[in-house]
Amino acid sequence: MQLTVKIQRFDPEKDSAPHWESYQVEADPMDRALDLLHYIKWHVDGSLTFRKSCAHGICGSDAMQINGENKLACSVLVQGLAKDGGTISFAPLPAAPVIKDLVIDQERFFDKYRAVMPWLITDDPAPEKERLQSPEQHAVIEEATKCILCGACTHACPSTWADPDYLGPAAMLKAYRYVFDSRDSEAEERLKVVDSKDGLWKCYTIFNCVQSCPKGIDVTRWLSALKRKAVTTRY
Amino acid sequence: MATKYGRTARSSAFQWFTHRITGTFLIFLLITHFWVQHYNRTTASVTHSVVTAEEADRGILPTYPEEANEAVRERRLNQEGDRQPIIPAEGRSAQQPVASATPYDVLMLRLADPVYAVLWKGFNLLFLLFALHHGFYGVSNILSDYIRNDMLRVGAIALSWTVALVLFLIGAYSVIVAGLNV
Amino acid sequence: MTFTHDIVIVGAGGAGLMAALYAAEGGADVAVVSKLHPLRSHTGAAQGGIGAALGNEEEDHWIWHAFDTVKGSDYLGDQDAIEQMCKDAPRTIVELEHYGVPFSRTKEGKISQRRFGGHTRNYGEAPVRRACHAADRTGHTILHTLYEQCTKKQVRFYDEYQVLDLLRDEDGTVTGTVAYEILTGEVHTFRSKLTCFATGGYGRAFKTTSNAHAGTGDGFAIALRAGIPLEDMEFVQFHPTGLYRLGILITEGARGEGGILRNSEGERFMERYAPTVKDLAPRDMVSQCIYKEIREGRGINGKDHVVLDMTHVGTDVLEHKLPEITEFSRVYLGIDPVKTPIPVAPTCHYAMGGIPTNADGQVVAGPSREDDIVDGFYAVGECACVSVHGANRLGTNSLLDLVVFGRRVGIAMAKQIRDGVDLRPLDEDADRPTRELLESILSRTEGEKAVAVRTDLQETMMTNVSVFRNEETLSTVMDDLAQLRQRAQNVVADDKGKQFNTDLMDAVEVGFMVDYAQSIAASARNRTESRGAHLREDFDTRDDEAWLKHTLYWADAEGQHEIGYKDVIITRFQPKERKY
Ligand SMILES: Cc1cc2nc3c(=O)[nH]c(=O)nc-3n(C[C@H](O)[C@H](O)[C@H](O)COP(=O)(O)OP(=O)(O)OC[C@H]3O[C@@H](n4cnc5c(N)ncnc54)[C@H](O)[C@@H]3O)c2cc1C
Ligand code: HEM
Ligand code: FES
Repeated sequence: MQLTVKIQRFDPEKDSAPHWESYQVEADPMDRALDLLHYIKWHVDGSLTFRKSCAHGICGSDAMQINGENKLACSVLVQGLAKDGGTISFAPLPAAPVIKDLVIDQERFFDKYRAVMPWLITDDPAPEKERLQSPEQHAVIEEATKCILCGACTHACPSTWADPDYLGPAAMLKAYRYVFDSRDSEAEERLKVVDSKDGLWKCYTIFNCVQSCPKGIDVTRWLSALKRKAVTTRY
Repeated sequence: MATKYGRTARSSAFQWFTHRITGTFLIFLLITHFWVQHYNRTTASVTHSVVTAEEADRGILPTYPEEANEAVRERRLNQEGDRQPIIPAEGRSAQQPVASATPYDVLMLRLADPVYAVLWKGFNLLFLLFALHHGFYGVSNILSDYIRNDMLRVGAIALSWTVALVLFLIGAYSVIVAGLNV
Repeated sequence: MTFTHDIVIVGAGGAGLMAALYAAEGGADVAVVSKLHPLRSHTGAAQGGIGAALGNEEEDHWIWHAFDTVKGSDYLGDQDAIEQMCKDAPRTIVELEHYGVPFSRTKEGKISQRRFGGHTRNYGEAPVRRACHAADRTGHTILHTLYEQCTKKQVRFYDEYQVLDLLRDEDGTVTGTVAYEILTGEVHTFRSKLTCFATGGYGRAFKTTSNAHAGTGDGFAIALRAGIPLEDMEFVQFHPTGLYRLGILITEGARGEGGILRNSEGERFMERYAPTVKDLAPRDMVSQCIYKEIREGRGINGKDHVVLDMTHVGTDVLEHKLPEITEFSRVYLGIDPVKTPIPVAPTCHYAMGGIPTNADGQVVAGPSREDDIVDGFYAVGECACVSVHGANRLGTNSLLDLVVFGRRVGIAMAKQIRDGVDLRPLDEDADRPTRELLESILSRTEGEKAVAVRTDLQETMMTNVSVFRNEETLSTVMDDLAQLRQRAQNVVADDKGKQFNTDLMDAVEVGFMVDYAQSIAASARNRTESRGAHLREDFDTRDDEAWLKHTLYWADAEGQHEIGYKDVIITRFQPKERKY
């Protein structure tokens, strides 16, 4: 099938502002969106820049705005994006500083991740064997552990667009993952971070995060659980 | 390594929780409010007429309960006819002294009732408080999202809560005094 | 700029992070340099599990695990290192659990384990549940947990810095590395007392692969160019079940949970080849059997693939124990494995060979494990060859290799630092060769792009050095590689900028690829026997008399190479015929 691929280009060494460029590409309906970008980079313009690695939706490198929605380029097929003769557009994730073309600066995103103390904290001495955790206790956090930190959710959230300091769904989902881990003992310290002016209370249950999550995580559900926990812990 | 995010101690857990609670209560408060104020025929009033547009075209006017008309007639007699009748009551001849109720009158009558007044004033105060908190907490969220300058943001939020407080005082005052002079 | 640290670890996959964590815990000043953000490393793609004889599900012993590993390696693995790994395994897994890895659980709340290819009870009697897992996201959860712990320990990360050169002084001691900062285009020098490579595999040298685009095997070539040999490069693992044409992996755990391979006649053909373990035979065998079926005309609809039938295992298992691969089939092939068997074919998966090391991860650049140690240089993970995988790696043993030896390397490096190591002087212009290399690519305006060379390289490697090999295919590929080397030295980059110039890095990487591709081809041509993943049609039996030894391959920048050998260490298990 024949497609028009529109890409938001920005070269920091040449351009003062991003602009759109169009390419005509012959594609197979079963191609991944990433394959289109590769085709252009490899055969049309080698300066087209984007991050990618695993090419099957597990490393989280290639989250970007495709046809206006945040997606992993490697996890959507062309047939789901356009019909023959149609157009597919690619832009960097919104509300983040753009480095070049589709590459964003992730410093802020990972700073927020670090803010929630994303590691297991225990106060009892380590036992000889593994710490026991029942399948039911594990089920509480399992979906949250699927997160690949691609940033699609955080950059799809209107609260992030409005307030760059908002911790965002990805970081707070990580907080959830540890607060609700039956082995963790620092729930309160971590809750203090999410129960702040940058945190939970700027989540207005808009569900953009759920819609954009390439791993199908019900982010809002887990953040709501975290809100309830914050309220019950305080009062 | 230390990051600047999430370092403020300020929690909005209580506000958020209240927002949820008031939202939930507002569902019931609003339903009751609309029913009582706008749909119940015996107490219908304020913005909404119980006559249809066609009826109005044919000259049919709304009617109000006899107690209301009675109360108005009494007041009218006491006030020595300084106020002209607005709506002639249906079925009365124009020659008779006219005293007919208005929606406002109906409302005041209800708030003058020695038994129901407590209930309705309580209801109204709760409604007022919840609606104001709910609405203004929502507004302050919006302000805190979109005003990026720290000073401006704090100022705007403080201002909006001040407005809320003023509205509450005015509202509470009018609810409390309503019906006292019927 | 020059950055100075006690320890510089290159690569932030499971191996690099594990080493960094334990080195940091040992009190050393550790920096991790990685061309990808650590969480983007390919360890995150590992699905099925990590092996350890915990015995949580049924009786198991480390010695059974060791036997399976030795047998799986077709007796080429070094048995002292294998024993070390299998003995260390349970403790290391428990430590990972203590660090927070969210493993799937048994009813009693212990780490859940499942069956995997080649893992058996009582020296080959029947499959055993040994693979600890977190659904089919095992690598992902390990990678994230290790990164979290390193963050907590305040390990210094240099993200998106691509190492292009290894520095050695006159004594051969490694003194540092040279790296290209992708964001700015600056060339930096890292000066360190100890340097450790953990740069992962080279799957991208083949057309069909389960490996990431970043899996270009830079570390192999950089070491080779610095005069360090590569060991056992002829052993390339093809995983039997890659999604047809895409190469995306369907974990062996799928067969561990009951999946069955079928040919065009619907026959469970593995029953014929491996009556005891059937579909859970080791990967080298299964891949070879699939190709035999295809060659004999039993590929599905005459095409070059078979199917993995999961339709009988039930929605519950697919949705809960194998959710990722179920999703992959749905997204990429539009197939629902609950109802339809999945089309699969072998896909290039893993590098058994690599930079030779001892069991503490110290690089050993020659036949003598004592005398040929390279001072200041360690290697760990898929880029290293300890060798615990010999001629064929068992599933779940790579993640295990990363964490066991990552841990050992971290501890060993920290100890060495505590015992005192001198920071060696660096040449003023240590980074000159790197700058010249980059400059020469950037200044070239005429020529073909890296992708053209890379595509041809992947094509010839796939046709000539994949599962079946013979003198003819191997000499063809050697000729091709000689030409590709010339072409790789003359590629152009469209992008001439400084910032985030991935086009330039593609051009550098293709040069690396030719270097180690040749080590694979030349070592394969040299080994005139069939062992594990190395199957010579013209020498189709194992020849312990002549070939029970490791290959060492040295080469210079022009591809002139030399081959040497190293003994295999045998402790308990004498080589026997390998039957499953
Ligand atoms: C799809 C798939 C599934 C697998 N499943 C399993 C499994 O179930 N069980 C199992 O045991 N094994 C499995 N494996 C194998 C195992 O995952 C890998 O062998 C292992 O993860 C390799 O880890 P590593 O740390 O050595 O390298 P990687 O995780 O590949 O990391 C390499 C690191 O090196 C960095 N790097 C590379 N080159 C440079 C350079 N020039 N400069 C700077 N940094 C550089 C990269 O940025 C990256 O951080 C699987 C492999 C694949 C591909
Ligand atoms: C049926 C009654 C109502 C219900 C159930 C309800 C419920 C809610 C809820 C749950 C929210 C929070 C969204 C979130 O942060 O996740 C909200 C926000 C809000 N509500 Fe209401 N509400 C009701 C009526 C009202 C009324 C009458 C007003 C106006 C006075 C109002 C004004 C607001 C405002 C301004 C917000 C904030 C919007 C934002 O944050 O962007 N609501 N409401
Ligand atoms: S390339 Fe890894 S998630 Fe898309």
